[in-house]
Amino acid sequence: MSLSRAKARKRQRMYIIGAVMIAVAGAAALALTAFEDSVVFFFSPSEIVEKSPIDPDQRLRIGGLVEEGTVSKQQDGKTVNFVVTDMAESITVAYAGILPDLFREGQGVVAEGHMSPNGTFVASEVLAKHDENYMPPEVAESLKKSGHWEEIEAKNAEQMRN
Amino acid sequence: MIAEFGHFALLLILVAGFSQALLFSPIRLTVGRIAAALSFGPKTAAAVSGNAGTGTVSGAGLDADEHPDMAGSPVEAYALPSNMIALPVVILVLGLIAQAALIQSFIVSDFSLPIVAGISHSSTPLLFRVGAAFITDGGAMLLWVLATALANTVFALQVFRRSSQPDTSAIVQNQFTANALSILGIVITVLAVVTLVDADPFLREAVAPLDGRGMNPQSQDMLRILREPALYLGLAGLAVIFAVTVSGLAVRKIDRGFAETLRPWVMGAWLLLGLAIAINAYRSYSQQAWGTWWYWDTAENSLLIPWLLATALVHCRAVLEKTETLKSWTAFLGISAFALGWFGVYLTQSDLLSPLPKMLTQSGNSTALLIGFCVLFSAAYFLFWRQSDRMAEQKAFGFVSRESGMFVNSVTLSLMAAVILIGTIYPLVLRWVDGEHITVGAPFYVTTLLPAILPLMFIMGFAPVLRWRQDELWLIGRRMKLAAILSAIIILFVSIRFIELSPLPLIGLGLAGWILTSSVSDLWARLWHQPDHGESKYRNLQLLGPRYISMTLSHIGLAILIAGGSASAVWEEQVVLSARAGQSIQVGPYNLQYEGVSLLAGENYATRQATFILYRNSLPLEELFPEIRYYPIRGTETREADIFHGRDGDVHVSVGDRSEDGGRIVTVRFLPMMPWVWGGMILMLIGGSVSILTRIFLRIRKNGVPAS
Repeated sequence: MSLSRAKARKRQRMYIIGAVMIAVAGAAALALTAFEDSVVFFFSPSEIVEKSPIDPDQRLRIGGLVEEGTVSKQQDGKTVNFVVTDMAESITVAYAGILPDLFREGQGVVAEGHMSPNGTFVASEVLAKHDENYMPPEVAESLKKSGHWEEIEAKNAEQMRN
Repeated sequence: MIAEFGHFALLLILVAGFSQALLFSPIRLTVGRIAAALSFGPKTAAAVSGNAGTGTVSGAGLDADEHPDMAGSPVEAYALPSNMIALPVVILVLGLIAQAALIQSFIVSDFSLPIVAGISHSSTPLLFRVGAAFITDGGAMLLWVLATALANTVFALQVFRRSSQPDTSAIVQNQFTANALSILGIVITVLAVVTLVDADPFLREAVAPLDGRGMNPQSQDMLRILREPALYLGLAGLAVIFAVTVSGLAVRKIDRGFAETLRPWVMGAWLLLGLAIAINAYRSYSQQAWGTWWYWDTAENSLLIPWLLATALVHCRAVLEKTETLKSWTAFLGISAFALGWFGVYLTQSDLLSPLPKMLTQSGNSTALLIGFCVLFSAAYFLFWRQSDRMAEQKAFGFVSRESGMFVNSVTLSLMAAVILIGTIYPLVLRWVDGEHITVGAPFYVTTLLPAILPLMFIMGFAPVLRWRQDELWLIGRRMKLAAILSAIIILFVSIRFIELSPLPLIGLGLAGWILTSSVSDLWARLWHQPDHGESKYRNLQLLGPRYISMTLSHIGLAILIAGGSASAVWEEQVVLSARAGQSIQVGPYNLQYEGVSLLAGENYATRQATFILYRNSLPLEELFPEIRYYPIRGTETREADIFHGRDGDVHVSVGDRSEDGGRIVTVRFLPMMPWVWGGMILMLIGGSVSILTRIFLRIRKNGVPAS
């Protein structure tokens, strides 16, 4: 009697462990497949120029500095165009909506959206949820890659002193 | 001077926490034994060393009463120190002193403290200067220490009360309690060390700046500040759960008494973390820059993960208390909830992950936090690994039973937590491995979490009516008949009414209907179909008990939350236009009239306040005032949306810059059923509070007799 009971308990534990294993494997499989098609990659303007033409269906993020004097409102009154640059290459970004609080010319910005066939980037979201003298790390890195980091850094330091 | 006082108090917390850890730990027993061996001579020493191997059994036959005069004897060693309450109270008082010193430095704007100079300014309003003490890394750590000290004291009071009652198993109980207090002492020590090493809030600079840098305008928000106490009190509750679990593992006492000790803590931590999530959601909703109420941000995920595990724990603990099964799973959850809560704090404080971190000024290092995490939890998991396979389950349960339903649900909840954790740290891993920058956003979480949520919600519908131990499928079918029919009607109605709807929100609405109808029909059955007790029907309401009421309220709250969330995502209407004064904007069933912008002065900002009059059926309902605030200290603007909570949806209005044609850019969103989201969250929180408040109430009324 006691033996069969122990056996039953063992079997039950086996079931539980098996169920947990299957669930974990399922979750891992799901996570991996989901990563393949729902992850958004970050590109600097130089990388976009390198890789173009980019499939318009692919969601991506672009980041760099907003070039001074390029922010302009379009005819319809709500679309804004601006140029994002890493000092080597530049991409025009179009965005319909209210720009975030800390969006400034000459400051770092990250935009999420897709490339349109004519080479402008259509942003569905512009992120600038950061401090006024803070550079998003991706942008800082892409500026370092294009070799203009010191220059920007010096300019920001100058602005801080004023 | 005051700051030095606080600094000293923080150092004393470290010392006191460490002495609490030592005083209640088994090490003290060993020392006591050696002392006893030396003083009583070889004969006693042999007896004591014979006892030492058998651990808890050794004192069981002896008199368990506490005798202060029997110092050094093995009996006394198992009894708790008589000054059990004193040390936790001392730590709490020290924590209060340190916190008060920090707040005082903020109130008087002592800019020789870099923490004050970095985030405060002489023009910051008093309320936000006090709040600023919580939102920097150092201040938050200090708040965490204080919250843990508070939880420590309350826990000591709880077990002190219990241990003062005569109990036959007092020795195991005392050892278990002493261990838990010792581990809490270790946690407090580690937290105090981390605060001192990583982000010491009381450091001084030789030359004080003339004025501070000012608060980040985005943090100057009451909700942002209120979130912190809720979060850290919740984490303190998880710390007690952790301590009790590890102690239970050490003495192999994961049983009914263990579950009863945990009960208020699990509920409290669940409630407070839920409160922090709700506050966070409403805050990002009311900030125009973010707009959505759930962003899958690192800060949000690091709240959600421990909350999900706490939810799983609420259910497992109930199973453990009722049937003494799922022992090692409950222990695992108890350790993991605190581990992931701690890890979440690490993720938010070290600016590793957030693509757009909050602040440059506070990106200090959090290495000590990570090291403390590794040391504490590798020890805990090692203990778990060693002890868990020795804890044989006493009883078995059938595949169709309430235990099994609760177990499957808690496994699913922890899987969801794991998926969110993977999604949160995956970008970091990828950046280390091949330097690529990626973002994991809502699409990932929706596709991965959906397959877990669907069975979870399905089981949630009928798990509460399952019987313990063993149940039959056909019986469930009979009980769930009404709910199944009603939810089928809801799905049919919605799918016919909105024929072009995609299946995803339809599933959400259907499942919400399923939970709602099954909860309500079960409540109905309990209230009216129970045999009459010869008394009024009101007796049936009393018989439900606080646990059932709290569970039903929380389940219904979740159903309402999901229904509101799916509906507002589908039927959202957004209008972006350039409006001139007097122009009227049609959105949903509402009509907004733009009245223009006026320039006003705030406490430490200037604001351009737009005025809108909201009409429904050409009757004015309310005035809405979205603002653009300019904070001169930091030279930045923030945009505050204004929200109208109507009976069929929220109207969310925000204003932007002046446009080229002389109008002003206005974004109006109509989110149908959005009040359901907030109502559902509040209902869940009420559900949690019912469970805690009735317990407190009954305890007071029955004068110290545990009410459960």
